[in-house]
Amino acid sequence: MKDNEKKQLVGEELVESLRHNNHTGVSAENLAKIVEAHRANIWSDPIDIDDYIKHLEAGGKP
Amino acid sequence: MKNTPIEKPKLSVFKCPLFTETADKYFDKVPSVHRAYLDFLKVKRENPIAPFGKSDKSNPISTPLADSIPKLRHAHLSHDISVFYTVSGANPVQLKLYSIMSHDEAGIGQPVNYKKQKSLGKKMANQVFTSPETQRIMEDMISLATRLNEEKILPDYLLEQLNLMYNQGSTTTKE
Repeated sequence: MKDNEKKQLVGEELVESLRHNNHTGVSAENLAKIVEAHRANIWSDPIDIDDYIKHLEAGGKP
Repeated sequence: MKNTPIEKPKLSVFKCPLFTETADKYFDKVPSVHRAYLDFLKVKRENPIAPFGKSDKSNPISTPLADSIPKLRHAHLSHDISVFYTVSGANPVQLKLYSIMSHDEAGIGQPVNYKKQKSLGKKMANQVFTSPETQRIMEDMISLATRLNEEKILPDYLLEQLNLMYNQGSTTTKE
């Protein structure tokens, strides 16, 4: 099977696969949330980093 | 021939909903995470591919996480809190922020390790806040205490006491 034909794991299967070789210190459940966020591909509008730093330094939300 | 300075590439930040949700949780309650996150952004602003300290690394290739998100990296913002992100593209370079999450070492992950939490709680209660090193420890303790409090394990008054000690730079010892 080619790499791009690999089965996309979801739910418990995804969590179980992430539990193995987890080098992050973060739980597999939380890593699964990150993978799901990546797949959802929903992003804010681009923010210039200088503006973002100024916003945070002024006490703004991350 | 004129020497023209090399222009820094433009860097744009993108946040996903998970990042906003998880970052909010720590920013409000853990001042050290807020400061470390600003330092992280400043490092990336200077050089997007420069690591933020020794802990900034990607996942080993062929692991499930690296297979799912090949460019994903994570860097410590405190002893047990990391930011997950990717850097990609060129002018503008894209800094994509996925999440700020805590580690399992504190016993908050699965399964819950009450013995470890109790031991850390005891350390917290005896903490004396006197030097930069103990300040750093105190900030980590507050980070942990916040999560123990959210888990309904640590009472509100103890968390408030710790925050008070931190804010005053207190050298108060327990009675």
